[in-house]
Amino acid sequence: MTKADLMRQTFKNMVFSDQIIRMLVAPDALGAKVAQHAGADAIFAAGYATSAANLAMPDRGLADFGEMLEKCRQIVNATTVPVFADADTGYGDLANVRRTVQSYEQIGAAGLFLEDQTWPKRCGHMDNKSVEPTEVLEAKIRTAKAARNHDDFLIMSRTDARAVYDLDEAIARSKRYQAAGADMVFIEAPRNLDELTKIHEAFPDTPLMANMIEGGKTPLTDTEKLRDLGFRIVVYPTAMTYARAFTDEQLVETLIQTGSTKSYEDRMITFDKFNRFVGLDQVNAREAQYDAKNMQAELATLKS
Amino acid sequence: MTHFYPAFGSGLTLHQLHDSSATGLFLSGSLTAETLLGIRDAGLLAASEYAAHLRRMRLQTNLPLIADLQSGFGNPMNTYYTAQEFERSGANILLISDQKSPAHTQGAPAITSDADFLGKIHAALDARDNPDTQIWGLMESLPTQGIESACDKLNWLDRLPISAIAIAHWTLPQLQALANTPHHKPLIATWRFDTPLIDGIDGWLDTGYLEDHAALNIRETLNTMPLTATSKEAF
Repeated sequence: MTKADLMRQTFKNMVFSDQIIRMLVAPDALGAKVAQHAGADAIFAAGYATSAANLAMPDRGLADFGEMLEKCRQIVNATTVPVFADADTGYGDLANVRRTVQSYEQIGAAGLFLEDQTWPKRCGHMDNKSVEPTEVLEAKIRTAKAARNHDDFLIMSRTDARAVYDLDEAIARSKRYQAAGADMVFIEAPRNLDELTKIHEAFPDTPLMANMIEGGKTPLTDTEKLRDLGFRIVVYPTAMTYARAFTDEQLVETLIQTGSTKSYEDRMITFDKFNRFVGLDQVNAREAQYDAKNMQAELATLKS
Repeated sequence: MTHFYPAFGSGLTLHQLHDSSATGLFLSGSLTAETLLGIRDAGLLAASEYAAHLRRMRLQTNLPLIADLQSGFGNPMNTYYTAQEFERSGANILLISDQKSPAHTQGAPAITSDADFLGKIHAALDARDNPDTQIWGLMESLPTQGIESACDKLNWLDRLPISAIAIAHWTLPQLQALANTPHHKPLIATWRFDTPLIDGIDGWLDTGYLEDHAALNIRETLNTMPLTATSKEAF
């Protein structure tokens, strides 16, 4: 079984169990490795963090398919937990959706979501969103299902209709997206616990995702509480980006003010520890395994 | 049965090949460099650039793809991580050359030591996630090291767990001599239009026949376009 096969299967098993998957959005491969090491069950390669890390720009439909795919690929290669992908609107029409699904499956993602916003999109917790007619994402979901090579490459529908209309419309749309083939459902930006409860009541047997954005529309809710409310995935799209930007700024301010990073060292990982973390010992061992001395000894045998 | 592996570097050529009866297709590093960089020199191409192209081409064909691992893009450690990247980018076969790195496209390339080549072959073998992925060793040493050295190399390559041995830059007597050298692995020779299909060679690897002809056709077609000195001056 290849790594990609294993990751898809693992993610599906997790999604259809009664646990809740703690899924961290990582700004890059290093962030993903840190998140896995610290206990994240899965990683999400998503637009807010990719726009921030790659472009230093807001999540407003500026990071394109190529940038998003490459970010996800780097994260997949750096981790051994499942990686789910934010595929935004699929980046165009049904032909684009087909290429998007095939490409994400090819790089080893465990699945992806497609949303019903108009392009250029906005972060789900920003104001002034607009959504396409329901038929648009229905067709994209059907296309995505037909395009995937493996049934365990999971397709999630996302609707942003709660902000544009109301929760009832968001639930009604999600029912249609599920009927079109969505394996999982994500209703973006519910306003309170009552709305989170109603979402579960509408989809009692469907894996649901909740989105915890600091300063967003949905109240920050503990993992266990979300599990009790019936959610199977909780995603943190902004936390690592905000923490990193905060720390980076503090560090540079300290350096500029004091002329050194010495007073900040207690808040840093050390040189040796970091090198171990990113696998220097394994890389060095790999190089040593094939060094000239070892190979010359083997050649002597091969040529005898 | 003799196998034939057409080479391509562009989506245009792949599009013509996707329903062919070829045993597999060779995504040549030289032709990829020409497509992506405008220069037919594989040695200028980064592994990451090649891998991204490979992933896109992989989505367009179900035929087995031979990836050009060149000389591993560095030392055996680099070969390990590059082989891993090419396999997950969709390669079915990884072709590893005995050239020195960087593996420039040339008729008589500089050849690395046997120890370095062996290390790179082991690295490619160890990097595989899928046991069905094949490693082929490519000998390019005939122009610089001659037939005796090539027979010696064929002997020890034949004892490794690779799937085939490929031979480039040969003369017909050299190729026949290698084919007559006792061996167990399939022998693959680079193919030229005037190559007689000699006994003992199990497969033929094209290195750019189709794209060379496409270039000639483009040049001829270019002459039919209304490009004059006047039109250039107007711009």
